[in-house]
Amino acid sequence: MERGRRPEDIMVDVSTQLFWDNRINDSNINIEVSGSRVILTGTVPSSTDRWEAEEDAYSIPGVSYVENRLRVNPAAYPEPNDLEIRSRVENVLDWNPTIDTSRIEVQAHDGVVILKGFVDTYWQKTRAWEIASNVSGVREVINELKVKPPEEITDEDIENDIKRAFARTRYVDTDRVDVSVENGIVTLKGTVGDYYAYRTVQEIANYTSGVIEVHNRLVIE
Amino acid sequence: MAQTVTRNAEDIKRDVCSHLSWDDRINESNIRVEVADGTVILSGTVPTYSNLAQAEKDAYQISGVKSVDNRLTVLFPETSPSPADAEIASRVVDMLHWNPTIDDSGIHVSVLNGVVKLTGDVHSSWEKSRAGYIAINVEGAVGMENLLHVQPRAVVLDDEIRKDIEETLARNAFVDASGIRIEVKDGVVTLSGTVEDDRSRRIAERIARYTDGVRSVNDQLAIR
Repeated sequence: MERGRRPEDIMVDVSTQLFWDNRINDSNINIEVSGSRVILTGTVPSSTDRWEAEEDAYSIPGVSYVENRLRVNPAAYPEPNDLEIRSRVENVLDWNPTIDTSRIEVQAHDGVVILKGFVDTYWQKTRAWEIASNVSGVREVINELKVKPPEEITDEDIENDIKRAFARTRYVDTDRVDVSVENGIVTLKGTVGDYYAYRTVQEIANYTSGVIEVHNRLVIE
Repeated sequence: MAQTVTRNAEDIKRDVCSHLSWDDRINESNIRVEVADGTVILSGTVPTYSNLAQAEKDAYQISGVKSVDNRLTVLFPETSPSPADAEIASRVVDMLHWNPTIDDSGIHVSVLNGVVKLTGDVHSSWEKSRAGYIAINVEGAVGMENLLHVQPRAVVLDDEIRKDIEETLARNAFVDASGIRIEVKDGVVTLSGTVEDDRSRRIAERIARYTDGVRSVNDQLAIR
């Protein structure tokens, strides 16, 4: 990461970036910069915009952390009711060929969707969240899915599998990344050079067999 | 960070195979991997389109890989009943309609033998690619013909588009854009020259696609 940029300069770049991005409705986004941290507040029309704004802020040199406090205020008109939202979310999950929805239960209250039940893998849990978030009318998705791997894999095997995948990957320097696994829960600690490395390390852990959850405590330096 | 490395084909092949087998999302049992001169050739079948795209990305992660020739095809598993074309089309229509970011009013969907065809108009090149991504990831879809026409809401001058892309590349922390050439003609962007790795190529292509006024992006970037 580029160090020592002035917060005013980061601020100008982040706001220019959000304004440039044709996908994002940035009219109700407020930006604050404190040191190398960017804080986004305000509202956006969809959780896609919310996520894209965060990624855009991370793409600016000198940014070490983005605190995303954006809230989704759906622009859909007429706004679908909870019954309709629930049925949409059930359908989009069902039509996705990578997720087994037989043990997933969907609830909706005032546009807030709760996912309950079981999936086989952690990446299915996060994928289900992403898919549900991208349905119009949904303000927020609370992910209470539990991961139950079809076969048990020992913590040691999971850890080795992750480390070997790190070694094969060209985009990350993982010398300062510490991996620990306890009961299938992976904790990532240490430092990486930029946001891309941060994301790649997280994805490698997500896609490893036997993982139940990933806690990413990496710091971008 | 990525570096220019020449590795022998056997090592690259071993790493690509390990990576595909490590990736829990991918059913790699019918994927064949060959390597020649830094090019990875993936052939065979996968059960979903997302597997096809993920396998390609995984191969690009391995050091020494300069390009991936993705010849994988999607073969819907015989164990599950394949949805009828009309059912797939109706799912795609709903998915596009329920997506909060796309204006689907000008999009027409048709499906033949599992291949989804999108025709009509959208306002931006990112809506075109996003509509394609959503459609191909619907269960039962095995291929895609994205013929959507991009009709920007307002005309942006070619010079302004080029400047906008240049400035955005310059602001980006992850791409060294010094080897990238940008040409814009009637809203069609051509990117040529070289970048450090596949990740940089994808970022540069996306930046062009998300820029106001762009109708399409012709990506001719090579990895150094």
